[in-house]
Amino acid sequence: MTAIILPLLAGLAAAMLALAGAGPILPRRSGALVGFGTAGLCAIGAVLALLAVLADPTPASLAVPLGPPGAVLALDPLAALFLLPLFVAGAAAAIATRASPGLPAVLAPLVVTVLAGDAVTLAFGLVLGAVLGWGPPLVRRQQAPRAAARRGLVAAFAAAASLLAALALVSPDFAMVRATPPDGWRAAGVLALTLLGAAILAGLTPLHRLPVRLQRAAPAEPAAMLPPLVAMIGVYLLVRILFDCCGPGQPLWWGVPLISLGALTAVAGSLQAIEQGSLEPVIAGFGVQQAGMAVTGLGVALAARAADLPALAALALAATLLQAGVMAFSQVLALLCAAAVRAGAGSRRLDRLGRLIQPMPATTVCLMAGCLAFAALPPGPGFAAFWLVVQSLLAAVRLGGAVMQAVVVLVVTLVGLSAGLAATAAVRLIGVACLGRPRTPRAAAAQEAPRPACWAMGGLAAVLVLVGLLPGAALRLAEPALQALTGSGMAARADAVAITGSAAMPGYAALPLAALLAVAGGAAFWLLRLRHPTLAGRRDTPGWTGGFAAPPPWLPFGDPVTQAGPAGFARALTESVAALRRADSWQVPLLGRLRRSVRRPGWAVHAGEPRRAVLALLGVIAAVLTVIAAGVAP
Amino acid sequence: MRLLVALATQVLHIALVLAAAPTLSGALAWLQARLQGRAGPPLLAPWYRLARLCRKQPVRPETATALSALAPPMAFAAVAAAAALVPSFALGMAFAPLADLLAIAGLLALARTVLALAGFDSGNAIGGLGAGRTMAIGGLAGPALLLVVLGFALLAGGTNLDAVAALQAENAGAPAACGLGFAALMLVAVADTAQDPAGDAPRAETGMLRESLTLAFSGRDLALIESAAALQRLVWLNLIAVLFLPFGLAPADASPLAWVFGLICWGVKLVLLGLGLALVETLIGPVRLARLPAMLGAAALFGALGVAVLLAGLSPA
Repeated sequence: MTAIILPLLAGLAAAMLALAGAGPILPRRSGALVGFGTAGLCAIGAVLALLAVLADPTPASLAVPLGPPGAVLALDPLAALFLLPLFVAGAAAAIATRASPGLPAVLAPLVVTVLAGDAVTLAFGLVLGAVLGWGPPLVRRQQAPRAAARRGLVAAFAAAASLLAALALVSPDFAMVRATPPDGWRAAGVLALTLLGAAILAGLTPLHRLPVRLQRAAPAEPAAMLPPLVAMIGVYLLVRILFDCCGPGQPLWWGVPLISLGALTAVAGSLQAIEQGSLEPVIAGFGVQQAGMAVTGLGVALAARAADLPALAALALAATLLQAGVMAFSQVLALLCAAAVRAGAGSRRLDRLGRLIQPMPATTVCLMAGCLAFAALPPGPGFAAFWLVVQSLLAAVRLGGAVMQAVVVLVVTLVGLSAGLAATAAVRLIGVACLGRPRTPRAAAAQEAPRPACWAMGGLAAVLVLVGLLPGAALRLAEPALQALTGSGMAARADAVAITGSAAMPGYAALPLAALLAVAGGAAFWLLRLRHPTLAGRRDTPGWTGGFAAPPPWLPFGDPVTQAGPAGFARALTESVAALRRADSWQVPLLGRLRRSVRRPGWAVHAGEPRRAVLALLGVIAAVLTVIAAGVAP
Repeated sequence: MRLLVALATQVLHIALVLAAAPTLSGALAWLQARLQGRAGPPLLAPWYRLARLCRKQPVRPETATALSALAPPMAFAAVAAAAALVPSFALGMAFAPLADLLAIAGLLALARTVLALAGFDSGNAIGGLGAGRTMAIGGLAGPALLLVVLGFALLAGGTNLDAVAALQAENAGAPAACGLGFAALMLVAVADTAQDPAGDAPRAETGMLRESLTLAFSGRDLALIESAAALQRLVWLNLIAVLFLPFGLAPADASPLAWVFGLICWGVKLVLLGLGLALVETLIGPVRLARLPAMLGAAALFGALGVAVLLAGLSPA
């Protein structure tokens, strides 16, 4: 079955590229053709991916006649699983942003990246996606999109080079790597270089500012959809290279860098989400947090497999896969909502929005669904993924010696902190942008997104709600991949009602919990409506202004500064974390200098320092060549 | 039969908890006043207040949206669901399979989030300020809470509250770790419920937090929010009682006699914990907002120490 689906998927990617190429040539009236064509192709792709996930776990591969010799496409349950959110989110984005030839041009290379069976195809897909996605804004006149595009391009090149280097240490072909997994210093090199590549793609610490910066200056184009999908692919590549290709023979400590890096990333991402002042950077911060949680789960999975605990490895890998899927859906949903707000309310800055719930109810509800996924609150999808990650961490304490235990205890602390920070950031985003009083006349006169965009966002929100209520069903899709990668699965521990960490103990039952909430809430609501015979109905009065003077006549919606704004929100929280973060406050003399020097190295690409970025790139390429030479020499 | 007993226990538990929550609030306020040498309000004062609020005509600011109408029932539902999951006098209730420790913490966080959003809704400055502070307290409590959960997962091999409580009732091992965990959870509970407005005197800034979120509510909406706050305090005390003072809990499918014993023991535990809470709050005074991060950091430290003690005991030394 996969042998039939793989050529079809490859053809689909080619058709998308053709559609993107034909977009500018087509007459203007058929502009919607591109949007609907992309959506249709994505829908076909989603069905094909679903078939590949459900039907047949045997992997298939296909030699590509074009390009460098040895280029191979491969399809197995893991790749099919990651294609699914790519296609579904792509279809929603295509319907929401109609007539945009940029979108299929971005999606097709990403499909190729996921299907890649060797390092060169992988790097080709990444680079092509970046060029097609960031190319148009690069030739723009405005400074900010150009800077973002430059940064995105350099990041993609660096990630591709790093991943190429990682695989060059062993063999460019994934099948060959699987046959002869690396060991010793080579294995360490593969781990480090793959982590570097994935860190650039997914924004892992210390590069957590990269996705936020990309979104801060991102143009309102399909390029803005690129970072979250690329982040999901970063997680995929970690799973593919470290878990799948490098095999079960790796040592236990392989998990430690991933677990700790993921937890640090999660905290850093939530802090970004609290501190940023515009919609898209806040959403990117949430994305960094989600990627961090996924990487933490993957670290536990690696350590558990090294300790020969397939059940725990399956649990942790299931957590990673669920978190990655939820990340892709919620990020694209929230970015679509942000685009709708930018078009409808004229601004993306939180301090220019407010009370969008009235003029833009559908967008607000969809944004709330996205935020429910960001903040790990039951019965949302984010909580199911969070629950699985925490369960795997709780079991991971027993994996290794004192060092592993200390790491896991610290990581549990960080994960708890990041969940609290994410919930705080979600309240800030919704509270400031969608509730309260409008902060500008433009926000007061906001317009709801057009009907197709509402449908697309609503569809994605419905998918998220379903995943939240039925996480067991979502994990059923991951079952073939889990079986193939860990030799164990979640089938006995995940059904429609509940997911559990161990078969001996009941776990998290999302649907019954939601039913309990609905019954209790319904009863309370009914009690409220139950009218006392002598009681008059609700009376609306002017609200208390907090003691501020009446606003002047030229501020019909009240003075914007007399309500809580986005700045300085939850200062107790951010300041306590910032105090931990500041090296100076630890009174360690060298640490501060070290941090300052780490702050501005070549790889932290600033807009004004392209020379440094090029130097860093050259350095990576030199390292690759050295490594290849070293590999050839003996 | 077994299912019927479980259902009966669950229904009785829910009824008792709903009835006990405002009474406990009143008792705590009275106890604090007595400890400070004042006469104190009547024990049933919260009930009178709820009844009075229910008779009042609800008034809403013009700027409030549909969220303001939905938030009080939603917050109450989240706290009530958590209250239904935490056992009081008997184990093996019908909802026991749902009673996951993380899910209970998540439900309390959900209630907090909904109330914080409601604070933003009417657009006054203090509501937004209170929302930020409330979420900050909840966020800082996260690490301590997860560390305590980690400790119990180490002991019981999972996070289901019923299983953990059954194990604790059977053999309460690791007294040092349990003591540290108790301290951690107590600090978290104090931080989380320091916002109960049913207390007798308006306590420092923390007491004003929930007040700031509920400024825009009146009548039955306010009654619902206040009963949710009282219920939340009871959830914390029940949780601490079940985890750390598991004596007298009626096991699953026990005889009615065991239920009676369990009920008496539950009352004793609530009195003990309430006395402890009142003593702590009288001795150290109201917790200042600026000191909450340090306090919750200490809670996380206690939790980490507890886990370390447990791990030291587990590892083959």
